[in-house]
Amino acid sequence: MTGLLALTSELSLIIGTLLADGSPVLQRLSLLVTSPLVWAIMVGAIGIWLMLPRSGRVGGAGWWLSVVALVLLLLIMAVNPAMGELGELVLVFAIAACITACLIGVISWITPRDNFVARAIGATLAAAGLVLVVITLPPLVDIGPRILFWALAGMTAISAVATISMKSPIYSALWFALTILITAGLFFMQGAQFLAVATVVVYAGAIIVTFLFLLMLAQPEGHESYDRMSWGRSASAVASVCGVLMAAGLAYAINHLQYETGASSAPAVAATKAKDVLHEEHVAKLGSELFSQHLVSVEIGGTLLLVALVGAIVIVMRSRSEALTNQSRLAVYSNGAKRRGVNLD
Amino acid sequence: MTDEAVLLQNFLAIGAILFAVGLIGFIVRRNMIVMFLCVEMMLQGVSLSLVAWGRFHGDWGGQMLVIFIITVAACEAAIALGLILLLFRQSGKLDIAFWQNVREEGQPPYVDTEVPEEREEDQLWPRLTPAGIEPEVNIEEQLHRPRV
Repeated sequence: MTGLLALTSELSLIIGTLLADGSPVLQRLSLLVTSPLVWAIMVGAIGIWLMLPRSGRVGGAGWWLSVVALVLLLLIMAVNPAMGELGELVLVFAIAACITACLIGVISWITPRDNFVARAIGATLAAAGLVLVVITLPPLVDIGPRILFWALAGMTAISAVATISMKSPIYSALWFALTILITAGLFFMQGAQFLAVATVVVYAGAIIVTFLFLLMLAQPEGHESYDRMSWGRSASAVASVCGVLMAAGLAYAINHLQYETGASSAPAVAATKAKDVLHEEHVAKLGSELFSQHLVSVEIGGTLLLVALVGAIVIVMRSRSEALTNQSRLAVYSNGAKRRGVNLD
Repeated sequence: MTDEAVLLQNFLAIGAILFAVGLIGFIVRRNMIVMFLCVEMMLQGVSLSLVAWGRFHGDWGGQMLVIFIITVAACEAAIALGLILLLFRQSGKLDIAFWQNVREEGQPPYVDTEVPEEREEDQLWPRLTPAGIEPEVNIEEQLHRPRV
């Protein structure tokens, strides 16, 4: 949210600059064109939008709305000089992405949306957006962790987008399971071993239950119509733009983080604590912390679990008793009576 | 910039991406179970950020918070699936748009203008490898299969 606040405050700044004089704006526009984050936002938004299920042909409104939002975003990003520092490779990449995005936009505008080509193009664009985000991040020093992180992060992002873009909810659940597994891998990479295992155990159970629910509730006639579309014409476009703008705001804040943390005392503080988090006896340390410092929270959490358990049972039981109307109750009663050989008359 | 700070930034970025993707899915999708999965995905994004901050500061606060997040998520899953089952029994659909009659007074109803047709090539379903002896199929029982 800080990022979004900073974005809005700088929006007023750029408007003031635009009114004041012309030459720095041109300079900023050139910085803007060469900024990978901007291209990541643009390409990512269009890509996710193309992949989401929608109703039929989307008119021009959603398209132009996204274009206007992206142009606005470009203007905002222009004031951040840090975004402009990049090599020639990125510049080539950005120009290629620009041309591709324009072509794709025209092609997918005139063709029916809900087909394989649009989804494939959307996937390509979203992947390009991801790559551009990765370019903006500072790389880890060692090559091993760097490759590991980028592989895990890329798979997480891909499976997350697949989760929300699959038409069949069963496939969504499977992709979500993959997301959870890779997140557990990321936890391992951070040294949070217990959390990684706990995530796999808890969410594996949750996913299996969800999967059973889907098998139980899914209709055999094919995809339901509500799985093949969204709210109206431009809802998915607006949602994509808003979501990616939010990610951009967060990325903006994270990029500004480096100026604050670079010379701050946070790493020094961490060093004095002797990296308790990375201790050999991880679970022992974690347990002692959990049951000494957070004892009350543990108790409250246990109570919450009990309450949720009882609540879930009450919800399901009540719905069952309401579902039995008078007629069906009578039918059940008479069936049971017949079985026992009792004559109701 | 130290390696720890770089690690923090990278993890914050991936956490932000997960959160944003989950948000988009929650707004766009209409299947209640998929919406529930999207909420879980947003929680995962937050958990990643918390663990990264905990590692950066070298204390246990982040991981403790994630443990409680997992606890609350488990409670949420129990309640949410119970509610979904309740709603499904009343409407026979997982569509959240069915419940728009609880909307505020004076709001216009949302009506689907164009419903895309289901095509043959979209009918792809997961296949399980058969194992063991195939059971005898009772056709009458299949016809009277109760819907929940």
